[in-house]
Amino acid sequence: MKRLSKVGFFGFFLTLLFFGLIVLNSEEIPKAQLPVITTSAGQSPDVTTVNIICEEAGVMYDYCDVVTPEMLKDGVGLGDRKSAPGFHVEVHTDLNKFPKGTPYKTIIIAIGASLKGMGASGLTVETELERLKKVINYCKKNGIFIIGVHIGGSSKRGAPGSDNERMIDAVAPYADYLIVTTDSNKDGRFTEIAKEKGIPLTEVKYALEVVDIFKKVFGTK
Amino acid sequence: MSHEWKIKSIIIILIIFIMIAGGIPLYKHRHFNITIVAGPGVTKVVKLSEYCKSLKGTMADTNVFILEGKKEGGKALIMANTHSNEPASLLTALIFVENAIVEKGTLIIIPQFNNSGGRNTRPGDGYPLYFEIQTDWGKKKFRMGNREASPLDQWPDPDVYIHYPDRQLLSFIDIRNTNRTWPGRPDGPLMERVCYAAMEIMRSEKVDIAIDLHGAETMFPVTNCIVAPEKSMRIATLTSLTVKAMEGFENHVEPSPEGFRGLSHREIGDYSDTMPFLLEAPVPFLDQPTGPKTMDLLLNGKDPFLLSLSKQGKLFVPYDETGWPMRKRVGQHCSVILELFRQFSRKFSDKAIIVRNVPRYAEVVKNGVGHYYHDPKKADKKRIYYN
Amino acid sequence: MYFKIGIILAVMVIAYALAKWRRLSVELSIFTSAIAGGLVGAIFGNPPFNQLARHLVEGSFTYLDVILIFSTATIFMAIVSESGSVNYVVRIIIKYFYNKRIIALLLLMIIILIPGALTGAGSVSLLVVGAPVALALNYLGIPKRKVAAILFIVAGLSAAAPPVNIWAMILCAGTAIPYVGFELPLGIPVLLLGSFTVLLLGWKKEGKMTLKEALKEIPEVPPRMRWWRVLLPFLVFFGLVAMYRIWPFSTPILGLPLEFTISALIAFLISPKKINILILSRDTIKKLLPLLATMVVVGMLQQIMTATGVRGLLSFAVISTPLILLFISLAFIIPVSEGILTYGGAAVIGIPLVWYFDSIGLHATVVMAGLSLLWPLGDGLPPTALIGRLSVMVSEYKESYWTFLKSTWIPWIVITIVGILMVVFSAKLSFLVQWSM
Repeated sequence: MKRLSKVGFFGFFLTLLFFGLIVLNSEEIPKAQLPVITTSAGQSPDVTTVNIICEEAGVMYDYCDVVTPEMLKDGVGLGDRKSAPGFHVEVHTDLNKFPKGTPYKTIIIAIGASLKGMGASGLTVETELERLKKVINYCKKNGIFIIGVHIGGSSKRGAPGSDNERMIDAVAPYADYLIVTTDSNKDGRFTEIAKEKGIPLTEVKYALEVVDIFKKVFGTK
Repeated sequence: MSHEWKIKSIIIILIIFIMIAGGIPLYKHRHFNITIVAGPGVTKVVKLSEYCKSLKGTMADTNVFILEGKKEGGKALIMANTHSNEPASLLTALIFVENAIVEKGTLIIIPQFNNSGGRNTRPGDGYPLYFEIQTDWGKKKFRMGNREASPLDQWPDPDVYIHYPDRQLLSFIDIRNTNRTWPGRPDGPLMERVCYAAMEIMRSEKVDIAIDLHGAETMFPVTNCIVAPEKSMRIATLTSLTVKAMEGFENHVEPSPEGFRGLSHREIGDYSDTMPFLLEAPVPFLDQPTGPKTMDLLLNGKDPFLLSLSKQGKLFVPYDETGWPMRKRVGQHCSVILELFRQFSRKFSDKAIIVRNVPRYAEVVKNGVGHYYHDPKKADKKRIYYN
Repeated sequence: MYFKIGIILAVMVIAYALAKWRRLSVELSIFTSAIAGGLVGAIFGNPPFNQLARHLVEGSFTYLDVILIFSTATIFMAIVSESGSVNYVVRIIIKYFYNKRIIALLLLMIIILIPGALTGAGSVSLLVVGAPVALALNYLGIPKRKVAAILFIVAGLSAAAPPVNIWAMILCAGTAIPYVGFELPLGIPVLLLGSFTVLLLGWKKEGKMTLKEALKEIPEVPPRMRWWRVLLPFLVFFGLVAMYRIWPFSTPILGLPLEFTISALIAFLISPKKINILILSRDTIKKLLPLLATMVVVGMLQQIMTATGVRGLLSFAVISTPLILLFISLAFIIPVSEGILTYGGAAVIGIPLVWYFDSIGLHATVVMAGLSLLWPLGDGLPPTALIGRLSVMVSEYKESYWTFLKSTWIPWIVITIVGILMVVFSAKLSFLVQWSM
């Protein structure tokens, strides 16, 4: 049994590696710079997954689920803000390399709507969209590289005009780089946006592959 | 005897007959024992009452199987049948008890955590009393239990349950629910004592990770997932991503809510150094809008009402004509547990937990659950336990 | 499967109708329906014939706790009443508040609300304070039909009122949500709707009785009756309830049946009048028997409906209803489910509904609060009509049940509208939950 499962796993790893290499070679992976901040578009738990992927990829980050332009302006350390109900702040950036106040060079936005998540943060779809618009405008003005990530699959997609699609509309067309899973892009929506706006897009079969993508993007090991 | 009394007498006799005919199966169900063959990895079997003396002699006392590895490492606790009407948990735990060999670390398994609940039925819900799993040597019979402990063992209920120690108000029914009575206390109601005993295992044995196995309705948003508090989140997320990538099944992560007390995934983390994880597999049988509550529905999870609701987008798991067979649910539990061990061992290499001889998802789906149970008739009598 | 279950459902309905037509009691009619459903189900294989008796016996235990609470609470109140306390209280209320009608009505409403709010059972309100309140309302010049209507609506609201709401508790336990944050979402509507009901139905004085005549009408109380003899049994009961709330980890859990029994013993011991407790208990249980029997057979019915798939079919039909229609049909679905299954309705219909509403962004706690305003209305509907029948019983209203029920129509509709609006706008009302915590 043990041998069988080991052989199976080894085979699976090889397949994964093979497909991973194809993915990595088929698209040009843009480079992004540290320091980086992560946030959510729609307050789904996918942002936690993105944070953990960052950790696995060795990308040290700051995080705020409801980041605002004012907070971005405060740079690394997010102005020493503390977490509170419906407001989460984490500072993992290497402060030796990037002291508090260093302007962020990259923002990673995990796209996916959760009414419960938004409710917990005291947001509605409208106020969340407004926040995202301001954040994106700030990033564009200040040259912060925007990475849009959609790894929630079909459960984080919906009919046109649904909460999830509105979050995609708010982020994807303005991103500098998009990373999505195949399940998230079944209808080719992200491919279309990427083509139309000239945004590099990487499609991965499994979210776990984003670890390697991030390593490439940020040049970590 | 008047005509009226003749009719009354007939009715009384009829009622007595129904009571006896209906009562005997219920009595037998409460006293039916499940046979467990301790596998090659089991090094010790103790009673839960060893960790909370006041459980001794009660229906809540239950077997604790300990599988010590050849090398020292981390320690993991697996609890099943916290809710005894979610049987994929028990079946998974028994696969571990009957097969697992621990190379490194220690595995502690409580297959029937709420033993009283496992001997209880659910009045009004029309469950079958037993279910049978096809094995390579015949059928293995199991009791179908209830979510709550039996009122024969813990009664009366208060008008509202006040959680210890946070004083949060919970439903009166939840005082008999071992996923609301954590962290428990040694002199509290019986189910609080059960949870306290498990906490004592975790504290005294310095358990690193605790896995509470469950099942949930397909209409419940928190199903087919790993529920984890902040301290377990990283390992849970990596497990979820890995099983999806390597074994092809979904098992998303749900954060353990801070404001909801009494649950294992909340209190274990808050009251010990152990990292808790609660695994949920879909149980179509538990959904309200289903056809008759039969053993077939329990084992195969096929239901036309749920299929229709799935097409209306009202379920929280993918659902098609194949239903949610037990082998899929148990297979998921096995793989997620093994992956949790692997991810934990990656992060804490000095406390690695290495277990072999336990099948993963694809193997259980292929061979069936019963394939992994041993024939008690052929087993060494000293290795057989009843619970 | 739809066809088979449909046949079983039809047979159950026909069996019930036939039994009623043959003038069998509600309890026997429900029992007949359960047996018929079980037998036809067995022909189709579910439940198997050899399991039928087990299902009936198991089902009969579904509401054992409720039955014990009903029995002990009624015996408690019977002793209190027999001792002369009830007449004593009524006399005082009439004497001091006869000419302050609004205060009298609101005071009486609060008296009905308290026992139900503390125990979660409107029936307890009626059994404990229903009789004296009904008498007081009568002497305030309110006809018995309207008295029964007031008792029914307010007792129903008392069951929904915080701190103990059994429907919400069943839903919380079933949907994995803590039982917190209900104080304002339930307390505010219950007080407003209760006040509206007593003022609407009790405003008009229809009798011509003067205060003097009213006082003369009220039966005399034993000369040794004093306030402390009236209050002590209630203080013991509420004290026992409060003790667990204040010191939950050092108070033994007695349960409501024992708490009522202890209070009943106190009432018996301090009664100024000698009471034959055995005869009184026997007579009380005899009077209560139809209600107790209803709880037993409803449990059986529920078990058979689940084992045959009928319950699932009904739940499926509700969940499949399109959203807007679903909101509107809550007005019927919720009370009817209570009328058929009593508390079982909360599990069968309520749990999937709460999950569904939660998934579309509604606030689960407020949804539960809204729904639990609608469930008590069903306690006036057949076949069970638990609170309705008790209201009629304690108010000694002898006319047609339907005439009584018809007189509740305005509060019924207002409560329905409030309940549904709470569900629809639950997300906007979520601040009530925050403020409660």
